[in-house]
Amino acid sequence: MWAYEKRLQYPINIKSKNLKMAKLLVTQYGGSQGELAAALRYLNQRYTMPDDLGKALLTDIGTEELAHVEMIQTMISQLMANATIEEIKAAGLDPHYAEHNKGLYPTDANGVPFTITYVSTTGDVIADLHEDLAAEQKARAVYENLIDLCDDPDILGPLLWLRQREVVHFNRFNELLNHYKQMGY
Amino acid sequence: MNYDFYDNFDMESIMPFNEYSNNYDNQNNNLNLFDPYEGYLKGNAFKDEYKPYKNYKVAKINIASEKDELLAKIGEDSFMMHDLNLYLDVNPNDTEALNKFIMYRNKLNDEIMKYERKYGPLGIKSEESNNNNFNWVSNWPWGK
Repeated sequence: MWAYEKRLQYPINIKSKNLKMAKLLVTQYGGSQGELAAALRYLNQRYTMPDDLGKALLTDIGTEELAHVEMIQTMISQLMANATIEEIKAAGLDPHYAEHNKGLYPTDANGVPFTITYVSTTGDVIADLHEDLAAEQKARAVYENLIDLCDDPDILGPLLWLRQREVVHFNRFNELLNHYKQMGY
Repeated sequence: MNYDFYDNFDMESIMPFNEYSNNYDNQNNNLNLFDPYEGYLKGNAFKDEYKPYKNYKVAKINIASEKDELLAKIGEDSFMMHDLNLYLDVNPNDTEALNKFIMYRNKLNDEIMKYERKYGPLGIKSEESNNNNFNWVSNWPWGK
């Protein structure tokens, strides 16, 4: 089971609203390479990992991804705080406002809602771990795209930090893949 | 104390060293860790694995109060513990990593107790969640 810890994994403190950035950043919540897809991908695949190493790593990384979902949600909510209707229209967030007001909703940067089809599971440990390795690289690349588009240090700090986590997860998944290859999978 | 027990102790029976392929020589590994402050800011506990992006420098965490300071310490040690946790998941025989994991976990537990006494519970199972009123309901981390 899970228990909530009432703190962020890394602090978010965004002082100025930025609706343009909120509109882009949401892809790491509900986009194909986003944190929600990552959490579901690993927490779903762990049941067919052939031994305890795989069950442990996919559980623990999947759990960390849930903490990253919370960081992205926090960033979006702080970026949208106190926005006026005019600012919402100017940033192109009026369709979002029509559907959700200032509520959060997992979509990609184009407003396409989250779908579980972003998550792949084959039940084959080698195929699934290659999927996970690719997912970490793609999430890293999207963080870099977002960093390129951003000039607020309050947003850059957490983005750089989350990007680095993709690097670490990639390395752990790689060690796990090598372990299974050596075992003859 | 009866030290004979240790002479007859069968390590293999509790730590199945040969069960896992990535079987480190326990006397001769080389974990190269950042200190908790630097590791936490960088988002990577492992010096050899750190990959910066372009010329971006990592952000410093803004400390405006004693609460921020305690939370940052909890963030640091919990981060080191977690990164060692992931590492140990795939390298369960690395005793150096295990000892560091235990060291950071102990530090973290002390810091959490210190924080909770002043600012309320971080977890619902905390002793601090039943002082006078049900203070779990307040103090959510996304702020504003």
